[in-house]
Amino acid sequence: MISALEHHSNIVPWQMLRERGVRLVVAPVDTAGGFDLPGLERCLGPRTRLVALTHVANVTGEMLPVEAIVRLAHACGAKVLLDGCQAAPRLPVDVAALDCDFYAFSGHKCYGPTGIGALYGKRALLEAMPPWQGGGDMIITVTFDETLYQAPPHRFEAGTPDISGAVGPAAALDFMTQLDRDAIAAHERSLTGYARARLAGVAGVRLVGPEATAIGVVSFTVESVHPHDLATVLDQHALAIRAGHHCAQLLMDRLGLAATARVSFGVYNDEADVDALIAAVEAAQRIFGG
Amino acid sequence: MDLRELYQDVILDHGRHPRNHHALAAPSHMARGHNPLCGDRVTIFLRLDGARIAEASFEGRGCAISTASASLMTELVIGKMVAEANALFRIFRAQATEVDAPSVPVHLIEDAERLAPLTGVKAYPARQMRDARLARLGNGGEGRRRRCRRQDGVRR
Repeated sequence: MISALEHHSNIVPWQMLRERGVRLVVAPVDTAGGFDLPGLERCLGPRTRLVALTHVANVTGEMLPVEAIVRLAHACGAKVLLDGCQAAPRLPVDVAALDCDFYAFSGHKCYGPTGIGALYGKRALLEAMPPWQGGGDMIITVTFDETLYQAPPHRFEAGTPDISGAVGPAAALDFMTQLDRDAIAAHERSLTGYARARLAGVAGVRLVGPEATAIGVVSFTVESVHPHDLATVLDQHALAIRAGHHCAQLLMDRLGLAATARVSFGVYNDEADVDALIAAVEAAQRIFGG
Repeated sequence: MDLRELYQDVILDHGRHPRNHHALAAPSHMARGHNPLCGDRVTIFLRLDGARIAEASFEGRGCAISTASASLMTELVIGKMVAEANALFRIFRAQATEVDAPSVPVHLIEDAERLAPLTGVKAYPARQMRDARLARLGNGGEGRRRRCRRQDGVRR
């Protein structure tokens, strides 16, 4: 089971499993694009094997009630995988306290390099899982008759690993830890709230998604300015944003939107950047309005 | 590059008030385009009268540049012979994407000049959609041209 909030990276791999008889269920979102916990509860059943949800939604920045989700899913006997790509760079994450079974995040959202990430799994589950790829390094002994595999995590790391690729995220995570994860979360929450409040004050701007637990990203549309035109104007004001469907076409379809503009914050942003954003949005409105 | 070179008045005008922005009741040809990167979906309608384009229109909306581009195209191809429209397409494609200016036959110079404001996208590679990418979308009828049947089922 996934939700309508998911990034394509948490949709497409599960669709590929359907060829092996897996049924994919999509838990609904509410009309505002918010996560719908009762809706998820209705979708859960004795045949639910895995609930794979985002921890923080990449379009709306909504933090999902993951503790409640884990409890509900475990009560049905389902395992839980959390997509932490948006959460890991913003929140202190304690996988043991969350009690999730798997947790994934990517290096490039955590100030690290692209093309690498991390997958956490509970030890007992990893020990019960076969390797997904064979090769050197993941074995204890090899004969022509049989091979004994290493214990996790090594059995899942066939071949010479991407050593240089792993050094980067390690340095990036050290950097984040030194900054203090709680301080990063407070900074991101505060900037997100400030940006939502300032954008809500601009006539013609519509914010996408619920406010309550939003952190790190703000999606919006501007009347009479297409998100891609807006992104080009903002680029001229030295503001780099993302425009488009944000690899979340399920959510965009539910909301009836082809595209939104999305600002995302990092530790280096401050309120002056938000003020510059507002000025640039108003400049775009002057070009395209009327 | 100055923003006003990209967003010239003619683009802003056609972006806000696209011409021929409706479906045709009895098209002889239509094509759907979907840009997966930005989400634009555009449907183009044509009604041919022999080898002449009697009507052209479009539905759907994208950014100002994409909308203006569809709008200007419909204005320019209406009344043209199909071969002329194809020649104009090749000229515009070269204008908008290639370094060297294409040679333009005398009878198409005026049309090519009308399309010149759209060539500002040359400085913005992220705002262009190349043929190669469109061609790769050839599944499910998206991005593919198709002939229409009239309601009486006669192929035109």
